[in-house]
Amino acid sequence: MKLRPGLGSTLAVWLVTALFALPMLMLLVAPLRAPGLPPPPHLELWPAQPSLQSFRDAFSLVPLGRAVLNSTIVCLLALPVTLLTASWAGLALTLLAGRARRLLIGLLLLLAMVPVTAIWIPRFVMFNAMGMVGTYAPLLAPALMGGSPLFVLLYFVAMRRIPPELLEAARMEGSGLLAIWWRVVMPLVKPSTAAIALLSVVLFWGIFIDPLLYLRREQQLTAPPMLHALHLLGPTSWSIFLAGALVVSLPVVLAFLLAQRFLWSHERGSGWMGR
Amino acid sequence: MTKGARKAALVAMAALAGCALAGNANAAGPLTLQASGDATELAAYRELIKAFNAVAPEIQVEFIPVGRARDHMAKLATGFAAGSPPDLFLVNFRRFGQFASRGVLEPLGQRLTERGKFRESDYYAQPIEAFRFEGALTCVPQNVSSLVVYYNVTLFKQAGLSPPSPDWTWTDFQRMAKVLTRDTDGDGKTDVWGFGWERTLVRIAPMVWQAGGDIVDDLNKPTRLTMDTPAAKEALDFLRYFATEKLTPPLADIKSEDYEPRFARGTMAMAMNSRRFTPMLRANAALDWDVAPLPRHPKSGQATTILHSDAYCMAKASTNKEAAFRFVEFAVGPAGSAILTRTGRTVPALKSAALSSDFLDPNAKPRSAKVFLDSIGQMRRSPNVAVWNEIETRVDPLVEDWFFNPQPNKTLGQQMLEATQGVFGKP
Repeated sequence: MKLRPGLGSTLAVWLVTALFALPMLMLLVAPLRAPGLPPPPHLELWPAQPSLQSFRDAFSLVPLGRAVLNSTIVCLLALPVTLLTASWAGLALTLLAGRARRLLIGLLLLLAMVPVTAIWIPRFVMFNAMGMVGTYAPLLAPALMGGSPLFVLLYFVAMRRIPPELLEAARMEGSGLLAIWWRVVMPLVKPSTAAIALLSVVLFWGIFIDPLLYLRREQQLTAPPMLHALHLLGPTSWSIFLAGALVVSLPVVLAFLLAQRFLWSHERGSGWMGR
Repeated sequence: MTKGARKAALVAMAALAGCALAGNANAAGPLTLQASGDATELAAYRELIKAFNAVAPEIQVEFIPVGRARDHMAKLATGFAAGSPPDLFLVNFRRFGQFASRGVLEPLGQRLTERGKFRESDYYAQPIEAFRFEGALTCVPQNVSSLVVYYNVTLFKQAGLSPPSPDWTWTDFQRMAKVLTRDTDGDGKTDVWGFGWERTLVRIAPMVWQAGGDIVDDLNKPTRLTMDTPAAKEALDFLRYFATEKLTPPLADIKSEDYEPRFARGTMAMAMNSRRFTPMLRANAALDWDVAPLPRHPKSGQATTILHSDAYCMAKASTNKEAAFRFVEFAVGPAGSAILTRTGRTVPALKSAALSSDFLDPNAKPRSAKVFLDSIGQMRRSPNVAVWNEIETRVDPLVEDWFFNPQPNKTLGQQMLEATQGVFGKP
């Protein structure tokens, strides 16, 4: 039976959507305000004299184009590795049983609780000893470990809903572990993969401290530190900062739109969302 | 795993390794310079490097820009801790002590003097003195800013007030702020505020000095803050007046929009700030503004302001010292100082640059730019000891709380003493 939403719930959905869309709308309009003007005291739906000068300034004051390209490269390299390692780790957790699994999940949760600042210096010393400071390797290294403990846990939650009989049947047909992972498991957790891919893009795109600590040349820097330099310009240059913010936000929005068709499909597991 | 997936994984791994190898090849060689600042300031450093390369094409300078001073300090601390600091970096004198005290800086003064292109007497004495550590000029100052009062000329005219005179006092300041605070549309809400400032210890310090007090017991070897003295109380009462008389926006309003954008928008008549505020205001050509010296103490007539200065420091671990010496000579020399001066953000520490038309440009705001130079003789400084950064970090939130919502049974001075207990004794 198909449920049709009532007028009230439709209105509520639109209201919530409008509330969330408002900051995005402001982000689209605010860069059109000419630089040098003080910020408007109230919400400005359209500036009196719209101008694209803020975009030109954002690209001329800092190497924003290069920084966006660098961030894109980091994301494109980190994304497949993250999905690979996080899904492997998630599958390993799914296949494990009893105490070992509980222990590893506990360790993952513990890892997720370690504040990043607590490991700044040990990480820096380690990468420095390996001669990797000044390269993108420290930024990409988390991808080798699933990107984040959260991603591994998300995969584990998705994969544990797959009926064990399915995996057993594949094994009896002679499939190896890698074949089971690629041909059986991954097609069944596509929405989770899309969600984790999206979170991974957000993580690697928005990473701020690592490029600041590990990269040396300005031409290497990624988008967030450049955006920060624009933010510091002060109140009369907010339109320049917001022009930069819009440019830096667009790829993430694009990633979300690309991931959408996977997000709305259903996982075919046997759990609460199973069919 | 299919062939395609295997290939993709291998490509990603190879790319990771490739990045590392490519970085290693470039890791040694160029002179590294780390500095923090907004995009305009960072653009000026790029211009400086370009100009330096025109006279020294054989030296490759690798610029490491960092936005916020806090992140700059974090990157420096991490770099020094790991033994790979930048060759050169710019730092405020309030922050340089933590590096100098650990012996990780190459004292620049004597070496540069011996090389013949640098003479201490060409620079203002106040910033030179601030960057001495145990008698030796450790870092070479680039600028010498001070606190002044920025005022909106239009709002002064509308209120029928004359611009502040060079010898105006705290009483004049409070009176003017009261006249300037206005409800222009008659809706019962204040539309123009009289005064705004950054609620921090270093902004209070000049008032304490003017009242005859001090912020620490010993400038060079401080053991405690002295913000609990009668002189400090007098300075604090002077500043609190603006909050109690509602001449400055309340906390909720300040949290939604601080004093800088309000001044830039023309809804705040006076603001206490350093030279760094100038480029922001210049960007808004429609705003008519100027600067005045800090008001004097009403009884003693004492005029004192606080030193703000940044300098080039060299890491002892640098393997590029010759190139670094040449860069610093250029950067703090006439050509380098002129480039930074033209940004409008700095008051050059080099006297000839400060007196040049680049700084005293009659066609550029502020019209009274000389106020910054006249204030140099009235400057005092806060300590430059290793723990000073931590002291400020601990007490500044207390200043913010006190200004808007003071504790009834504990003075700010007492709170500061409690918050900094044991910090001065740290190694």
